[in-house]
Amino acid sequence: MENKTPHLWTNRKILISVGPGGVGKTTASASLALAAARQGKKTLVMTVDPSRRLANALGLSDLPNVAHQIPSEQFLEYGIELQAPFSAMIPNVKRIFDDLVQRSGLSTHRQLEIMDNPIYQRFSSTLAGSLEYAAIEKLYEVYSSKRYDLIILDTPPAQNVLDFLDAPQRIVDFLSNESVQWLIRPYVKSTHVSTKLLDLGSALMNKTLGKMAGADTMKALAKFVLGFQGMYEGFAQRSIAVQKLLREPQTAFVVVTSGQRQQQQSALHFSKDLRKQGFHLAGFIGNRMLTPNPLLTQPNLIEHFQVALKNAKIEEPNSQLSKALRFNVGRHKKATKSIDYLQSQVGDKPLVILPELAQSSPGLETLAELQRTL
Amino acid sequence: MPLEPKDVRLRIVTGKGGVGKTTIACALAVQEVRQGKKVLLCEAKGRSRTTEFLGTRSASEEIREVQENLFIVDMNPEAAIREYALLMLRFKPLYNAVFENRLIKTFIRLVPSLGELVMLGKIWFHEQEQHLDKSRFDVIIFDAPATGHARLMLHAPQAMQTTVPPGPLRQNARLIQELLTDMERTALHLVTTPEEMPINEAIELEQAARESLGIHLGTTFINQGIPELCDEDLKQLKSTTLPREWAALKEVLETHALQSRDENQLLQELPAKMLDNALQIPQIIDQKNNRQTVETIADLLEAASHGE
Repeated sequence: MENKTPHLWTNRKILISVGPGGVGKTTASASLALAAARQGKKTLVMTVDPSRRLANALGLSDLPNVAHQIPSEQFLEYGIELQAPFSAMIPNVKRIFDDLVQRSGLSTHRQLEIMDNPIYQRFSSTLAGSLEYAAIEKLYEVYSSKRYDLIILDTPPAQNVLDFLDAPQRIVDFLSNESVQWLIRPYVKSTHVSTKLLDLGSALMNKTLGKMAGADTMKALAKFVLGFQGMYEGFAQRSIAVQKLLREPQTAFVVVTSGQRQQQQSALHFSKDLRKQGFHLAGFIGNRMLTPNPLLTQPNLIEHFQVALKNAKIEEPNSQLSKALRFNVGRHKKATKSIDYLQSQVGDKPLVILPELAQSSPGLETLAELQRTL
Repeated sequence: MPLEPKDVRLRIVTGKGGVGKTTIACALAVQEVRQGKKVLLCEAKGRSRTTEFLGTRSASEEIREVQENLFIVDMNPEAAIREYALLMLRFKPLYNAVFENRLIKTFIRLVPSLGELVMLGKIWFHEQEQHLDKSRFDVIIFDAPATGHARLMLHAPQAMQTTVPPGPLRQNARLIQELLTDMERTALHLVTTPEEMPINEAIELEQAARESLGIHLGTTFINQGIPELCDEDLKQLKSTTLPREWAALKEVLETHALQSRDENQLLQELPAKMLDNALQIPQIIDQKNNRQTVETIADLLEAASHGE
């Protein structure tokens, strides 16, 4: 499927691949990065959650948060000559947050205090949005280093694409949140008379919430918020810079989807939301779609096949062979329809169809195969 | 392969993102409704998908009966904690004075496990709930978040018991824990596809369920597999004469056989105990809409629960 239209990465420095869960975003992103490196772009793919096999294949198993250049000889085996270096990285949330604290300019004592805080540990690992925040933060850092012509960021699966993009703002909002200030009031001494009433409300709330979460938790929460106060300015500035970068024309989104209608509909929603919010859309990747095979659309194919099986003295009509053929004909019909549907929905944006490959766990050979289409 | 266990009060359905959790959860619900049971289907994904899958009204924070005996609810931590706080404070004006929505959101996001716990608490509450001297619902199907988050969630009652001071919340955590670990009442259904990542996640969760969560596994669903084609079938294919213009058919089927072998190999990674109690749900390709797919799977479940 050679096409001479521009590549998805033409005129871009950052591509962010988004899509619903289970569409194979990681494999698609890595293949896209490989294709770009083959064409001479110094490329980095940042992937949040690769399969073990892919992480191994990319040599990333023990290297969180570090860009690793994959030796180009490894691709020669698959007949690919890279024109530029190809690197990959798995951003690590905890380390990215620790870096932020260490760069904050706070005293070592206060840095350690923050990092020891149980709320910080939650904040920097499992809090909804922290992975997204960290990924964008790392993207910004790597982009600013100007080491790559193209960075491809593979995002965690989301129900809603804006969850991902809102993450930095949510973190900033949280730190500046008035209600968080309420939570810490009882722990900050105030002498002003007019705030007494507020203090009363705040204390009542604290007591009630403390009943649920425990007084220790409330104390830790207050300490955490206080500890982060000094870092707020930096967070806010960074967030503005990141939002700007994400909207610049050299940054664009690639929406990845599959042959399943639900996933296609989610993906199309994503693309609408992105455009509404003023982001640039590079195009769509329909991943793991069957390549149309005209043979499978012939009329009465199954019946003729069954006659042939009968002639070969193979029991019919329940043989696995005709069952498998019926399945393939059905699957094919569905795939053709779903390609037509996607094509009709993407408008003027390019749609690249990636074939479904026989092996179900991707490695370098998968990337090598897929990048041809890209 | 029969559907195990037959009668429980709570079925928790989880698996990696994209494996078809919601489809399976809906099919389980439909199948139970067909048996004449009153079913509550709980969603917890931040976006109700019931309209998409069942073709009914969508779920809201309030429980809705969308077809006879099928009730659905869309849970979220904020609403669940509001309900819980109201039960605790027993006085709405006080609640409103103390709790502001934005604050609650922040609070839940920060306090480890609180949001997860109150959602499980809601499920526990409905499991206990009585109506006219009998249980309001016969069975609750929980369409849980994807594996990683589900694991945190199912661990929340334990975590809370160690971090929260003695009091009502800790007491509740203990009761929820009792429900989850009671094999007479609760079963965890893992959903996977015959692919590397989903299988790995299922293996990891099975191990966690056994070793740290203490939750019993019900039937595992192996979703979206292709019809099996083995070497013997290929041999037969070789001995079949096809018209020359159809020679490529053999290639199609050979590729299919490769994929089938690959799938089988991957499935062998699952612990024997899981494989023994697994139900294969084939890829369903000829249905017009999701409801039809759900009904077809419910048929398969029904056949399985009759031990066919």
